[in-house]
Amino acid sequence: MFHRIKPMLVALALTGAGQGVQAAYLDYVSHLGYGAYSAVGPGGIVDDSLLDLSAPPTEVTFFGAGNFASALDAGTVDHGYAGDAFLHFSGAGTDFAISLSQFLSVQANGSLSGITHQQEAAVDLAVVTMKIMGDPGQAAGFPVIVSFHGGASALSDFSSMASGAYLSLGLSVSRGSEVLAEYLWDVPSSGDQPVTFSFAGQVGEELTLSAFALTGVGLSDAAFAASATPYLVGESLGALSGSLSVTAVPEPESIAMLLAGLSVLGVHLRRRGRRQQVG
Amino acid sequence: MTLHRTLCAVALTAVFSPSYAQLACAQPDPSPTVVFASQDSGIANRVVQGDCTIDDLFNDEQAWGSQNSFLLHASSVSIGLLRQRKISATERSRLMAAALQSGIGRELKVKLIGFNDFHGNIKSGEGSFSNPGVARFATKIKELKAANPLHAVVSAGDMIGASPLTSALFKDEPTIEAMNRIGIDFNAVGNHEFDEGKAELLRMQNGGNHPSDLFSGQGLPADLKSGQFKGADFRFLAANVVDTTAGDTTLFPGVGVKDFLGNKVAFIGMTLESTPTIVSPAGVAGLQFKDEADTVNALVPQIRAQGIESIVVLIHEGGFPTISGGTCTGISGAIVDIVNRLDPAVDLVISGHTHQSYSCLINNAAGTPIRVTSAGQFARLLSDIDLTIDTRSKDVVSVVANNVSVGNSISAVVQDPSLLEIVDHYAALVAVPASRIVGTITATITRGNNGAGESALGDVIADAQLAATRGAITGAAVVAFMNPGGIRADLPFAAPGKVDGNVTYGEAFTVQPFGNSLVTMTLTGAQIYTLLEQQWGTAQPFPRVLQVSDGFTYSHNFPLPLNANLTADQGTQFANSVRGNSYVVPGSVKIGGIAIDMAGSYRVTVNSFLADGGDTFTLLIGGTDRLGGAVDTDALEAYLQANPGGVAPGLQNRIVRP
Repeated sequence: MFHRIKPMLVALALTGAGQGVQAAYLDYVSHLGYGAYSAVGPGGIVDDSLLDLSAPPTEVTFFGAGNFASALDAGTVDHGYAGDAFLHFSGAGTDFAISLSQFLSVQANGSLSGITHQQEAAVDLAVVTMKIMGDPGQAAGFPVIVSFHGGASALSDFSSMASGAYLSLGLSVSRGSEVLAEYLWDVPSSGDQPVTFSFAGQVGEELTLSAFALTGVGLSDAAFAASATPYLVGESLGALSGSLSVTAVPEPESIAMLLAGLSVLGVHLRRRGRRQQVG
Repeated sequence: MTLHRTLCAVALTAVFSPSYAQLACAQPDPSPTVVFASQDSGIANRVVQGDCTIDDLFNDEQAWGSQNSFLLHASSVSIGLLRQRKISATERSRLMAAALQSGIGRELKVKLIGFNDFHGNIKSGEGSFSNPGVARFATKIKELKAANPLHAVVSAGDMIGASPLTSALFKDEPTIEAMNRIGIDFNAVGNHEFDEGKAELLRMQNGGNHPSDLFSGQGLPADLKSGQFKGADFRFLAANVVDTTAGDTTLFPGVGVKDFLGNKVAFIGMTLESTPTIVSPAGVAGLQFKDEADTVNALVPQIRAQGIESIVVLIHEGGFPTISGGTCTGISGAIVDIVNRLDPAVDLVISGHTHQSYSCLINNAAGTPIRVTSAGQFARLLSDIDLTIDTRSKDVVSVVANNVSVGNSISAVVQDPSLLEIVDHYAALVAVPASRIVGTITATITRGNNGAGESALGDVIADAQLAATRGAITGAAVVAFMNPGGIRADLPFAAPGKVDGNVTYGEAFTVQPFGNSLVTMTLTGAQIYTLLEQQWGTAQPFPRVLQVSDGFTYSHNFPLPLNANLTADQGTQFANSVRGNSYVVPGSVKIGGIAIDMAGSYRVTVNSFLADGGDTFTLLIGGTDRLGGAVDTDALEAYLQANPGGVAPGLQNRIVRP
C-alpha cells in the first residue's frame, strides 16, 4: 500500500506546487433554514421543530428527534423522526451533512379499524449564503473550481398498508437565480449513490447552497387484526453528506507539472505491474 | 452488493466520523441499554459490528469540541446502523433524542499544567534537598497530561537564570533541552531570562551555540540540531517587552494560542514592568518594559477579534499569601494591583516571581474574583488547573486549581528515564570542574543579614573583590561593594563528597552563578554617600544593603528590619514613607578609620551588574576611569587561595546601626 501512496503523493505535490497553497475556501455569510415534524391522527396533532444550534460563522446546525405515541382504545400508533443538517466551514473545506429518518408502527391489542394518520418530516436548509475566499495571492475575480464530493444513502421500507409514503433528498448550489449544480433523489427506494459535481466560480462571489430532506407516511382508514407484535407501517431514511472544496484553476505550467506527476505515478505502477508478473 | 452497500454506508458516515471505522472492540461495552454520558436512550444494547455493541460505536466518552460535532457523529453512526438495518428508525429517533439531551459537547474540559521559577533546577537535590529534579517533575507532568489529552504546559518565567551549576555551566541549555523533552507549550519571560542579555535570550529560543563559551553545545545528539544547541521547541512570550531597536515590536510574541478541538485558549505572557530595576542594565539595553495590566487590556480586544474568548495571563510577578499554600486566606503584593486592573475577559492568571505557593481569588477591574495561581519554585510544585469551556460561547465557565507536590530529592516519584538521561549527561560533564577544590574555610559562611544589613558571606565576597582589585595595575581600589541579591547561597563547611572545610568550584559557583566581572571606578566621597542612600532610594522595591569590604565602615539609622524580609505592612510603610529619605549618619563613612572627604576621589570596585546601575544603584553609572577586572568567582577563588589556613566568616562589624 505504501508503495502506491508514495508516488501519488509525489504527483499531488507536483500539482500542488504549481497551484500554490490550496487556501481558497468558502466563508459563511448567512443562513436561513428550518426543520419540522408534524403528525395528524387519532391522538390529535403533533408538532415538533428542529433546534437551530448554529454557531456562525463556522457551523450551521439543525437537530431534532422525537418519539410519539397516540393511544387508541385497543392499541397505540407509534411514530416519530430524527432529522438534522450540519454545515461546518473552515479553511480546509466545507463539510455538509443532512439526514432524516421516520417511522410509523401500530400496536393492535385488539382489532382496530378506521385508523387514519399522516405524518411529515422535513429538514430544509433553504438558503445558506457563502462567499468564495481566495488565498492572499488571489484577488477578487480569480478563477476557481468549486467541487463537491460525497454520497447519498436511502432506505425506504413501506408496507402495503402505508399510504402517502414519500422520501426525497436534494442539494443545489446557485449563483443568484442560476442553478450551478443540482442533485435530487425523489424515488422512495433504498440504495447508495456517489454525489459529485463541480463548477467554475471566482474569488469574491457569493453562492447559495440549498438542501432538503423530506419524508412522510400515513394510514388511510386502515384496519388491523389483534397481534402480539406491532405492525411496522413504514420506516425511511435519507442521508446526504460530503465536502465542498475550492481549488484554483490550474495554470498551464501546473498542468504540465500535474502530467509530470501522473507520469511518475504511471511509471511506478507499470514497474509494479511487471514485478507482480514476475512474482 | 451487500459488501458494496456496507462500504458505501461506512464511507458515507466516515466523512465526519473516521473513528467509526475502528470496529475492533477489545472490551465491548456491557451496558444493557445504550447510554450517552448519563442519558439513557432506553435502546437495548447489543452486538452489531464484529464484537462491538451499539454503545461502543458512539464515542460519547471522548472529548467533543462542540455539541454539534457530537450530534453529527451520533447522527452519522445511527445512519450507518439504520442503513444496514442493525437498528430500526424508531430506535434511531430515540438514540438521537438521547444524544441531544445528553448535552455531550456543550462543555469541554482543558487541563493547564502551570509552573514558575524553575531556575534551571534539573538535578535532584542540587542546591537543596527539597529540589526533586526535572526527572520527577517530568513524571508528574506526564501523569497530569495523561489525565486529560487536552492540555497545555505553561511557565510563568524564570525558567532559566540564577541556576545551579549543572544547568548554569552550560548556559542553561540543559534546562531548555529538558523542557523540550517534557513537551511544554509556552514560557513567559521573567527577569532572570534577561540575566545574560537580549542576544543570549534570543539564542535560547532560536538555538545555535554561544559565540565564545566552550561549555555551550554539549547536549546529547538527540537534543542538538546540526551539532549545535537546538533552542526551545516551545515559545517564549513577552507581551510587555518592546525592542526599541527593532521597530518597537515585542521581543517575543505577546500571545500564544492553543486550539482544543476548535476551542482556542490565548496565553498572554509577560514579565514584571520593573524588570530593568533587578537585572543588569546591559541585559535590557534597548528594551522597554511596559505596564502589565495596560498591556493585557490592550491585547484583549485583538484576541477577542479572532473569536477567542478563553484568555489566560502568564505573568512573572506575584504576591505573598497570608498563609502559604493550601486555602488562600489572603494575598498581598504587586500582583493584587495588577489583577485589580485586568479586563474581565481574562479568565485566569498564572503568576510567579515571589517563589510562593498559592491559589487565590483576586478581583478584576469589574470587581469579579478570578483565579490567580503560583507554584512555588525549583520544580517542587505544579499547578493542576482544570478549565471548563462553554463550547458555544468559547469562554471559560469555571476554573479549578490545585497545587500538587512533585516531591523532593528522595521521594518515591519515579524519575523519567528520558530526563534522567539529560541530567546524568550534564552531571557527568560537570563533575570534574564542580568538585575541584578552590580553597578552604574555617566554618560555614552564611548570607543571612544582621540587624544592620551585613552578612558574613557578604564581608568575605567584598573582601575578595577588593583583594582582586587593590593592586596598582588591577584597579588601585580602596573599597568594594557587593549587591546582596547576587549572593545566592551559603558556603557550607561540610557537605557530602568533600572534606570538611574545603570549598568546591561548584559551591563557589552556586554562591555567585551570574558570571559577573569586576569593574573598578572612581567616585567622590559625596557620591559614596549618595550610593549608600540609594540602598533605600525611591526606586527600590525593598531595602538592599550593599556588602562592604574590610576597612570601610559607616553607621545608619534605617527604621525597618534588615535581617528578614519585610512583612506586607512593613513593605507598604517602606514604599509610602521610608524610602527616599537619608539614613546614613553624616561623617560616619570611613575608610581605614578616616572619614572620607566629600570632595575626595576614591577607587571603588563593584561587579558589572552594579556598574551598569543594576538594583537601581544608578549612581554607579556615573563612575569614572572604569577598569574591567576578573570574573567574580575567580576573584573569590584567588582570595581563598591567598588564605591557605582557611577563610573565616566575616565579623559583620562594618555596618553599624546604633
